[in-house]
Amino acid sequence: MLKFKPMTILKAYILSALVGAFILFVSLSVIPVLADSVTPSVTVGNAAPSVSAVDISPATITLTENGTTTITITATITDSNGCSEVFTGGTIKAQLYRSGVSGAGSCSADPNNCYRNITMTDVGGTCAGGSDTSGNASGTVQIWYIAEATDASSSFSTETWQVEVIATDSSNASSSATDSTPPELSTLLALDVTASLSYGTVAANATSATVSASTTNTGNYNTLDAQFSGVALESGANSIAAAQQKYSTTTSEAYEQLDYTLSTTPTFRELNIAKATATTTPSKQGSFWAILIPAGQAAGTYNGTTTITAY
Amino acid sequence: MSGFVKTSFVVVFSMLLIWTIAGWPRVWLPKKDSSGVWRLQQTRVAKIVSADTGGPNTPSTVAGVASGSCSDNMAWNTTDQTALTSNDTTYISYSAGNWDSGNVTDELRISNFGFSLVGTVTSIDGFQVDFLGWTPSGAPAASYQTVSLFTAPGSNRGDNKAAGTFPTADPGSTYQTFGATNDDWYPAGSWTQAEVESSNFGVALCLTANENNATVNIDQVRITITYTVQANSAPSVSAVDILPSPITLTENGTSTVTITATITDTNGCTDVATNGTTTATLYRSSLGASCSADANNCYTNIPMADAGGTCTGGGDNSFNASGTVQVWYIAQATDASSSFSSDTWQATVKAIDAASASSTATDASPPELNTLLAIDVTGTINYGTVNPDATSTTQTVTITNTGNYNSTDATFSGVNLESGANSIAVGSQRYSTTTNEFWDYLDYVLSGIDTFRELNITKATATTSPSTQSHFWAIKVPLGTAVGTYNGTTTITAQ
Repeated sequence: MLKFKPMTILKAYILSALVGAFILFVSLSVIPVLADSVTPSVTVGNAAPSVSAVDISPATITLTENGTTTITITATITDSNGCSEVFTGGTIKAQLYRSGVSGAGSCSADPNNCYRNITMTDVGGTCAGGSDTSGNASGTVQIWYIAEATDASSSFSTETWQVEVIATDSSNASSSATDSTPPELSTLLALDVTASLSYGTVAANATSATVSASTTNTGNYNTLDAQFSGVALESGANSIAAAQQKYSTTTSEAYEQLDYTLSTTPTFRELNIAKATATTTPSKQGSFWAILIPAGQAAGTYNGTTTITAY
Repeated sequence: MSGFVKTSFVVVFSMLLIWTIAGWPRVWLPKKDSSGVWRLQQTRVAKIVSADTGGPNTPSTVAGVASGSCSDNMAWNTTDQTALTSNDTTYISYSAGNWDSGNVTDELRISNFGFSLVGTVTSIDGFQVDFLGWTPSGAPAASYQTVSLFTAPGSNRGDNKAAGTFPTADPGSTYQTFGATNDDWYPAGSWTQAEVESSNFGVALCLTANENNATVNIDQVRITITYTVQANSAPSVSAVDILPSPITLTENGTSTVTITATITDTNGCTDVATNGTTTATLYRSSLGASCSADANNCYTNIPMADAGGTCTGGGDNSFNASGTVQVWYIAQATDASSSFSSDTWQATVKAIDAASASSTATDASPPELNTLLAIDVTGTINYGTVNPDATSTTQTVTITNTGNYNSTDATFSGVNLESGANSIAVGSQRYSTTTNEFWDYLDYVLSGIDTFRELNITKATATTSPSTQSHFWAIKVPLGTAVGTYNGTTTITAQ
């Protein structure tokens, strides 16, 4: 009788299993398997960008006399194709204008009421690129002192200063939005006067020659008036009373014919200085001044201050 | 009776009994079969003969030549070489007016009868020569002087059968006949098939005038040959082979399968290769060779021809036949994974000789036909123009079973759609293998990894009616996807 060791039987089983597996592998592997491929294609269409959260700051625009004031415009730009479609591949422009100006956002550039093509850019890298769809855009514009006021006292009290932000993407699709709470532009009553009046050397109990001063409307009020006041001219312990000075806002005349005596109390005078309409052409008006030196007035150089306050 | 005699008697009686039952006489001879193994098989060695006739044939060549006693001062008018082919109004004449009593005409050598005897001729048994002519000059104007066959003009052989006189009037269709079916005119020897089939074979005719100024018209001459041929033996077919082995199909097309066999005919290989036919039927084995033509399992009437001129004619008895057939992709598989794993693909080769005798044989080691898992998919899926965060309309893709597997499934995988440096994730595409729905409701999200889907696309059963299935695809373009045309690849692999 034949006898087999258990290990021999185990080896035989393992060998049989391996042979069987090999045969199974070969029988399966002879079946050719063929694949086919399909090419999906999609054309991603352009979605026009959108503009939101348009804001103008400061909330009330206050001008700087005889100069410019920085206005900041901000907006959120969203593009479904990615914010870089606008921030990198497109443009963001703003038009700042008095809301009632002809053409509104399409107004013609004018420092009085229309500031065009204000460039806005991504501030602080808020558009991260890739699949980021939105970013914050910001731009500034320098508003001249002649910009037309829209506050309650102005001629355009029913209006505001509005901005239209236009975002254009790389496919030239665009959209725009305006500030939902546009600011007022405040009236600026401001003037600038010749810094000094030199009456020259005048003997006691004599009058000076009439000298002129220039008053320039450096704000945006259209019929600027003023209050005049002064203080005594002093030279050490000696002084000449403010009322020794006379002035006229219209005609250069001799001391005796000048219209007004300078008071220490602000005194309204109607000047009607028009608002300048071009920054290169100031709107100004002359005033005429002379002084009578009282008798017995000690010799000396007397200085004082005359204040003209726009009104 | 001694024991030896008894034993011998029993042996002889038994052999006679066996031969009587099995046919006389047969012997067992070893022969190599298609697989190269020598085996004993029966071979019939007895010659069975049968009589046949050739003709009557008429000549295409005729010439008058003065030869020996057949010499005259006149000449046969042989201008019309076809004058003797039919019973009509054109004749070969001898009529110049100087053929006088006792003169013998020049020898009229009539040849080129165009015999082509059928079968393997074992003997030429007899000739019958028929003349149709008369002597319009008077009665009896002429007598036969020479009627002799020749192997070539001027080389007369055997008997001169001349006897009697020419008719004195147009005999109509009454021929004067010389010879018989069992008279080969050559007592000293025998004719060969080649001799009588030669264009030089013919009959010589000389006539003697029985009056002065005699004339003669010969209207038609014809010869009938009686001969014996070896009886037809059916061809045999061996060494049938089908290539390739196994048969591997071509998806959505045909694959060339070659069938070869050796054809043997003891009547000569031309009996089949030239005058007969060899055809094959290729079929799934359990259907048998009588199957009806079907692209799924039965290819009939596959012509097979002598491949490479292996039948040299003459005494060559065998040749190698080869034929090809285009097997369609829908042919049923017989490999281990198939529904017909106990079958193979078999070829039955049938050789038919000129006498319509035939035999068949099959491949001793027929091949399997492999399962072909294959699909074809619409080349492109065009989702059209889709804006970011929007979904495309659902597109229909047609998937076709281009193999022979009966319930084909598939794995699906894809890659991102790309446009330059930009891309749309592969998972933005969804599909359904059953229902046309909006993107949101499509069943599956396309993955970058092969994912099995059960499709159960049946095998086509007709090449003109593909088996197809519709699938439905849509895409959602993610927010932030830049403008552009994005392309990708989706791979669908038959399973």
